[in-house]
Amino acid sequence: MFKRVLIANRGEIALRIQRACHQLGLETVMVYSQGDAGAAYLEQADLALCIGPAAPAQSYLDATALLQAAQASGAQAVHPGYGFLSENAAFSEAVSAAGLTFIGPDAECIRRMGDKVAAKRAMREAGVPCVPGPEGALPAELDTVCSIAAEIGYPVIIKAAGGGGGRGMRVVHSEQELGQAVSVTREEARRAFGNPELYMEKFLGHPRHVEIQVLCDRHGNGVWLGSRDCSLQRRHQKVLEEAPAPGIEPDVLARVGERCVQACRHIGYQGVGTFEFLFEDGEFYFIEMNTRLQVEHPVTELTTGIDIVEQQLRVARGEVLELRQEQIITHGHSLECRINAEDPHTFIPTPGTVSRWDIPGGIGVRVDTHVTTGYRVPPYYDSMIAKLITHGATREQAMARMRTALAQFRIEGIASNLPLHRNILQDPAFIEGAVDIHHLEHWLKTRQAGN
Amino acid sequence: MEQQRIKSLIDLLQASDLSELTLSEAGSTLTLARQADMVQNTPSPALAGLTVATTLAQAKPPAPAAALSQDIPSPLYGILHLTPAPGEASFVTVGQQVEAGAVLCIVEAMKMFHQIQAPRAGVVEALLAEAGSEVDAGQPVVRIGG
Repeated sequence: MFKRVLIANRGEIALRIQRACHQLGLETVMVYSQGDAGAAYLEQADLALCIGPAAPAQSYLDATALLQAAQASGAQAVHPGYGFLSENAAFSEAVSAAGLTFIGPDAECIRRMGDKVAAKRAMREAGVPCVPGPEGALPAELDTVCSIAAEIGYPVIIKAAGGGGGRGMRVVHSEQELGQAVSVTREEARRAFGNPELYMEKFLGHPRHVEIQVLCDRHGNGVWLGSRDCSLQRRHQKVLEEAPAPGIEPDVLARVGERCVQACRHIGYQGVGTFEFLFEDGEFYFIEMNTRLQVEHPVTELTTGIDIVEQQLRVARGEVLELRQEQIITHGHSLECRINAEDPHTFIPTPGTVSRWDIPGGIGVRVDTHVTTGYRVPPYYDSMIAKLITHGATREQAMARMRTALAQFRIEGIASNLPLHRNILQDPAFIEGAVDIHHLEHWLKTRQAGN
Repeated sequence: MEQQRIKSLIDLLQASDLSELTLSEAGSTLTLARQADMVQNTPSPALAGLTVATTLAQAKPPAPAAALSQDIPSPLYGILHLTPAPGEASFVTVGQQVEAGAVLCIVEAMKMFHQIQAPRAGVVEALLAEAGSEVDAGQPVVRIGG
């Protein structure tokens, strides 16, 4: 069993993992780039090592540098966090080949779930509901593609098998557009992902994004930890998340949750993971699985009372999962606002020095952040500088706590999206709950038109 | 402009210590420039050191400010890129003529790429920061002249 963990990440999630390690009595090795040198969160580590220049490709994405740091520091395990190398099968493989524990699933699982066609096939086999569409990749002959589309019914969406994050996809409304859409997407996929394989699905017009958190050990035990709704998105980036997903019948949710756990057993999954679904008219449609810890995991922690990162470390150490499904009960409601260093109107990033940083507090308020007064937000990485999370006995109470917390949060020196979140928390549709994934973009357009 | 008038302007420049002379009148613009090296090496005959740099532009006279240099600032704090991708050719090189709207460089911040475009046509006189370096919001990155 490992005693010393190398945290191959930066910022708030590196600090989150560090806390969980220390709470379990594990030592931490934190790596950092020159762009993060001097950051306060590195001071608490048992050992901090600089692994390269600020550019991610030469530091947090450099598998060789990370492995060398792990070996030089005597770390026996590597936690990849989210982003960077967290869903890189070759990295998981390299960590294991070096005789270290990768805190996450094995390379085979990451590879399988990273390929959308293979992932969908695995989910179908496990009985997880998927979006209507053929199982395999699209054939080259346009006639066959046309008949597939006709069978699904327009509108359809063409997606690159190797794509993700909203890239490499195109909605087609009629047969006239189909041929061109397929060839353009294929070319994009070939260039951007090195894989020209495409697949086709029914395009859902007004879905919500609902996801299921799972946790599995190495001994075939697994549980699902409730639902999250992440429908508030801008350009496929989540802005505000909540748990549980409002207005979904518990038995409908339980059915899909159980299927997710079955799917994990089917593919031999271990660790934490998330099944992402589109939810429309009472039906769930699998879109993809994230084989890692997610940004929005705290809303599940606050509603279930389970420390997900602690559990992730425990199962990676080979412990048998003690949690039983019947013990997992969600209490109340939780919201998370992603606080970004960006202009609240233009969304232009605003890296720079934070001259004032007053974070809110009080009952039911949690702030996950690595930022302190005087911190210089580097321009090299993601714009998220904090996660503001609230919990309440009801959704109304969680919202009330969020409004107060947002009002008391003071960031000076750089612009942030705090004003955007304050506005969202006043939006009648959001307050009512269960908006679809297009709602925020429509709302932003209306706001722009009003100005 | 009449040939006689141009000849008299050449004489005027020759007699002065100016290195360049630009005259705009009635929709025409004429620029006369003295070539420094030739002035040094071959002081005579009289016209050898002078070149008619710009011919008569009847249709579109440039704005009066066009001859002045202008420093283009980065709109945000980020990392300066002078090429579209590593290993590719630069967007622009010093001495290059650019049109208004031409991409001069990119400033990257937080995974987003912001193109900096030429606000007007001109010649790239200088690149004011190194590729890959951090530039502050408002820091000049490219100088456009001519």
